Amino acid sequence: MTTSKISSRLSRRSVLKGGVALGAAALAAPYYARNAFAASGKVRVLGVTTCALPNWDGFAKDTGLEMDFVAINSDPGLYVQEVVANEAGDDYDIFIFDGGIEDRLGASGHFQVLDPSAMELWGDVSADVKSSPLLQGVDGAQYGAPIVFNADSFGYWVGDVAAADEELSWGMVFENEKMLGKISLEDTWLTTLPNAALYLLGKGAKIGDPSNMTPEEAKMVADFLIERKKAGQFRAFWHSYEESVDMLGNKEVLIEECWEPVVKQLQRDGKDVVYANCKEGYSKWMIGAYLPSQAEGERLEKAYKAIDWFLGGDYGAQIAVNQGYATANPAASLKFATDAGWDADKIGAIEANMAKVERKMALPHYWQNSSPEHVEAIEAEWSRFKQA
Amino acid sequence: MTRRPGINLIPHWSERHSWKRLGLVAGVIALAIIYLPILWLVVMSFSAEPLSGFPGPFTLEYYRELMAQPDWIGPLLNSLAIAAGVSVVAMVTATVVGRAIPRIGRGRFGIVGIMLLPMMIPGVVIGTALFLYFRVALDMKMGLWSLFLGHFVWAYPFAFLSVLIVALRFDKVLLDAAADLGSGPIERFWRIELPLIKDGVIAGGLFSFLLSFNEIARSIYLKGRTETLPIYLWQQAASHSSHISLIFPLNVLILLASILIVSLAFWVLFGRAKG
Amino acid sequence: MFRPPTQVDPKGHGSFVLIWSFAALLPVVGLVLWSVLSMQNFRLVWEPSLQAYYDVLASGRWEVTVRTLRIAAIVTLIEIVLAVPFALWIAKGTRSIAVRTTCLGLLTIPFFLSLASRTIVWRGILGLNGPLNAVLMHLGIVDQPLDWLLFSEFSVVLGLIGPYFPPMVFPLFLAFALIDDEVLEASKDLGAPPSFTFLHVILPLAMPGLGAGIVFTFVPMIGDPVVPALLGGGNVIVLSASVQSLLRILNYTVAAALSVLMLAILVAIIGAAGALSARMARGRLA
Repeated sequence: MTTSKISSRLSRRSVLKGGVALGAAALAAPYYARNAFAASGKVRVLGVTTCALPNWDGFAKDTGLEMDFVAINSDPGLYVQEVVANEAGDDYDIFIFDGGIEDRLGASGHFQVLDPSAMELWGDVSADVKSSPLLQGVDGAQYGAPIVFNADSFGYWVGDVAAADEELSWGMVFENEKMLGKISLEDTWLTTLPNAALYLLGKGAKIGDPSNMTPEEAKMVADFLIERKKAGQFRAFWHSYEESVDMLGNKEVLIEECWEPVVKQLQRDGKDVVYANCKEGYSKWMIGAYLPSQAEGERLEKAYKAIDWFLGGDYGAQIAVNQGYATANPAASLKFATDAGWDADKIGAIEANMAKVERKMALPHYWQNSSPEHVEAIEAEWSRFKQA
Repeated sequence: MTRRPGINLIPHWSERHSWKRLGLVAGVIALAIIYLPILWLVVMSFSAEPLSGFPGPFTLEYYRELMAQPDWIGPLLNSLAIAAGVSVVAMVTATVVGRAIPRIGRGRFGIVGIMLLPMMIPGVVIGTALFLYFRVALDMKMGLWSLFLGHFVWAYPFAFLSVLIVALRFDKVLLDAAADLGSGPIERFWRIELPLIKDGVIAGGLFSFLLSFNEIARSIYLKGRTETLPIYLWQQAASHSSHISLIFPLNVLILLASILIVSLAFWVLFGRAKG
Repeated sequence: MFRPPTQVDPKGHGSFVLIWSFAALLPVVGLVLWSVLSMQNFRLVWEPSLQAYYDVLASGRWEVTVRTLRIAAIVTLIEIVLAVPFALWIAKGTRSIAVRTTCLGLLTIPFFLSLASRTIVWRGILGLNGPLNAVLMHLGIVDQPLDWLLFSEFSVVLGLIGPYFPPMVFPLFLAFALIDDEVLEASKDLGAPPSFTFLHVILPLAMPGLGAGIVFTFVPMIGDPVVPALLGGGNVIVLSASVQSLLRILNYTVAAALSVLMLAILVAIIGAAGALSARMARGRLA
């Protein structure tokens, strides 16, 4: 087969619908009967596991709908492929994914713009959160509703590194002669390059937006990281939650760029680790709910009903207690927990969480962006650092 | 001349030589490297802190948690079904093609190469390639069939080579002799050829089953809405919370089940054939 | 023309080769295409260019091929050293069917467990505060915990030995088991020492098994995404890690170029090995 044949075939894909593919598609049809689920009381969500609850009883009770949550990894490449090439919008009513994805899929017509009037609780969400660039597309339209968010820093062992409530610099992680080989980083350019940029920014480097660097800025940051790597600063890189818990918990490293639940879990196990307060600021991320452009009519109604529930107190209270993450409407979470008669320590955890989120969000920060303009150059610089 | 080869032959060659000890030592070293982590896993599944370097205090907590969240059963059944299907189809097709190779005059090496080509590309790349080919070029929706096909493409070369090793040593004079004695092609295959290449065919089927059962790199792209066990575990690993209660006790349960299945299968296949 | 009765029907395997070509080989052809074209919104753009190959070479990404091949070669060699005597022992060294079946069973069972969970436990064992370092320090062999035991090429190689041992043993065992005992007896009766019998009788007869064993271990190890990620700790970047990082940002072109580069190297290696063994086989017959 010649090359031009294949490419012309790609562009004439609709013609092929009547061809050989039909037979095989018919075989697969039972699994994918289009919109066959619209009539049932199910809401189908394709989402990252971070925002999933252990059980959805509260959701079913409040909305009268059944939650069908299908998990996907937080891998932007895979997600875009699912939505664009696999037309996942035919099968799902809601997409829940790391914010920033709407820059790629919003204006291109894969997501639809949210209608605020369709959600009762939308007005209660603070304007700061709603207007995050992680929910609004490049065209300024509101594509996403906030599900969970947080401001990330690093965890460390109190006795070995610093006092528990001390205000620390990102230099503890990136430029720390006392802790050579005692530090681990997350194995992705998405968080580690901007965090290093934040540190360099504090030292006076010229970087515009840490989460949307130019190729030159990315090269400068990678050069700095390579120099630190050669000095023996970093012990290892982690890829999954379990690995990061294990690495910090076993004292394989003493300082770790990580997610907050890691530290919470280690504290529950009685380990003397804390989550750092950062001088230079934090890496802020948000997971948003987006509506596929295919959703309409009854499907759309159910989707809005479901999103409204995510904005409410039941969901927020559970997330605050289990993971320590922030949700759209913290006051509602507190009210829910109080009304439901939760234990004092759980309510205390929700209150502490609210105070923490408020303090962190007041500091300088940037929003983690999974689709920066020069993503290929940034990934190439990251790969150069990893190879060095 | 050719005696019945294979597993049920009592060897008597060279029993006094020290190479036997060498073989035993090598085997013990390798099995130790394989089983050390597995035994560790079993011990740690009962430990309160499974990922730490030291066992204890002991608890059944994680087994309770596993039983309380039965979501893994569906994916497990899918995995078993796909693996069984892949294994049967690979076994049959590998036998068809594998036994033909030694009888082809020219181009043998080329055909073998073509059969092996897909295994030389990283799984994620083959997964993406198959996905774009089926989905974008052919406009088909992913599902059980695409998982099956992706696993088949992965497992088939292993099954094919397993059969080929045995088929290459097969003496086809036997078939000629049988034909001279008036036996038909089907009888020749069942009564003469298959018993002689049986070990290769079984090894091929076993390889296919196990490769499919644990496949993940290709499945990520080809799964559609079908969950397999490795995919399910992988997704759980991506959440911002612990899934220890899944990995450790679940693997111990699978270990126990596989010991049962393997013992039974090997006893049926080899044990009874004795004598 | 007279057709001998044992000739297989060429249609049977011929049609399978055809189906195989469609299911498995077209995507491989597509891979070569993607590496020279670019893709926008999942449509190929017809502008052939070798830019991706240039990127692979200029960014130093090609180094992953060398590192991956080196690790795979080291592990394959270790497997051969361990598996040849062991497989020979299972096939010819033990009389007991029970022992033999148990050995084969022991090699099969680990496959049922996911590679990730079999691998992650090494981290606890090899870590700075793990039992191995504790023993070494207790014995006074070292006074500081060894940090190269984990998150290094050493731990990756160690972690790969276990999972890739059975695929080396099985084909070797099949090949050894097929060797007629009478051949070995004859060699012995003619006064050949065991080492001679091994090198000049057993090994040549078992070549297909050894070849298959190498293909079963070396080739899949090249694409192994699990062990290097879990035990390399991000310090040992192999092909699959580099490709995954590219696919996360949908950089199909460079991912394809890198895979094609590796594919070309593998085809060259296997082709050379095949040609060499064919020549050796001819030389022996002559």
